[in-house]
Amino acid sequence: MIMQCEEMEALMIDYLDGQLSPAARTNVEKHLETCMVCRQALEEYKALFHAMGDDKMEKPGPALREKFDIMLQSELNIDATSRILKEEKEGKVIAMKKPSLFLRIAASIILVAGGVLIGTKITPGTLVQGTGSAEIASLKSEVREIKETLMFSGLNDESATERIKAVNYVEEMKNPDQKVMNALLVTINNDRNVNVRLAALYSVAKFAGSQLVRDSLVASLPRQTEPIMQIVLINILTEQKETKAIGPIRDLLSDKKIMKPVKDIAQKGLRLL
Amino acid sequence: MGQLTDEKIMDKVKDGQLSELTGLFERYHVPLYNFFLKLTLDKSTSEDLTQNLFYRIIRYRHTFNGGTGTFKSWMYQMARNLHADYCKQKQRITEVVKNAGNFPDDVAEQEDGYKEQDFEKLKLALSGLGPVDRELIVLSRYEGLKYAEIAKMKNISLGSIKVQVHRALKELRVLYFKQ
Repeated sequence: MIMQCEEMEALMIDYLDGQLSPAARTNVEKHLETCMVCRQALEEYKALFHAMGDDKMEKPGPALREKFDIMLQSELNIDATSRILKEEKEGKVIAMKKPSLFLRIAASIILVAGGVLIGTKITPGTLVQGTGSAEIASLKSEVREIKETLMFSGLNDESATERIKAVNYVEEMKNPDQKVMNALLVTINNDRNVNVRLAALYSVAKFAGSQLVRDSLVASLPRQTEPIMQIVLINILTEQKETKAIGPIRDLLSDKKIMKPVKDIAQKGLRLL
Repeated sequence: MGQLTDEKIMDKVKDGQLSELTGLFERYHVPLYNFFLKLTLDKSTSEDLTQNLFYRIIRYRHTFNGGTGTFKSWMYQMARNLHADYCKQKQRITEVVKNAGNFPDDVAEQEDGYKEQDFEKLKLALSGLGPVDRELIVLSRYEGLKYAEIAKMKNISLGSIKVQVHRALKELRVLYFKQ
């Protein structure tokens, strides 16, 4: 009988899942009629499965979707960049292989025409600047795009060192756009490594002249739990005389969990505001 | 208007239409987050792992082969690897910081709604299982993977997967009703 009960236990689960053949089902039911212990076990499985079915899924925070969007965008950028590079490479290879007679003639015409054109342009005193600076501008914007791409992909790297490197790319950008700033702010608030968060904060601090950036930093203050992040944030905001920070800083002062060194800095900061 | 299957969407992603991944994110980010949450009991870790998983999906998109299995089992295989990596890393960290406490906040954390006690009871029972058993239960009963899919993932026979899941369920039942 005991042997049978042990076997029964495995069958019981399939029985409840509706996975048994009709014959096996009758067998189980027959046994259940005579065995109290197994009936009890069956009731328990029923209750357990019921509880598991009721167990609702928890919702992740909104940052997850934000990070996903940023990650996808950066992958799209990388993909586009690599596609362009590939096309360029392939284009060159074909041209080098077999320059047809037509191409060679065309090239020589272009060379001659180019020479004539240059000759007419370089007349003393009339150096046309328009085309040159436009080219430089387009080159600059290309370099900038590449840096952005590197930054976005780096921010999603699993290694903290790579993420810090990515954050530092921003320092090479003169006027990072809103997308870049958003990515950095997300990093400040959500990166799991405090060194990465701190590096991002230092990078963003350079643009604390902008009200938008300062607002985001004020909003970030209550979210930070590391003392070092709290201290640096307070310093940046008080240096900028950002009065909107007064409220959150006061909150820190009245919070029991905040460490004393942070409170000292907060006190000093408040005096400056 | 039938919805596209996961595999069709993934084929598009593989084909270079990366934005299509958004559809799979909509379908799976909540179940995946809950998968990690059941295994790690930590919210922010679970968000990180979910995020990393989608990163891996896009990075390793070329290794997906609809001919050899479903998207779902391919994805959960990666999720398992990611969780295993995380455990290894965590082990290294805990060796350094031993007295970090046992996440009492998380287990006791409040969620709105009724039947609070039942959920807490279940959570507690699940956390009493070993990691291998817990993963089996989550994959088979929460994420709805078939025994055959799990067997293929773990590279063991269908028969032994069944036995393992049944054994894990039995242990869970004992833990749940013992409280």
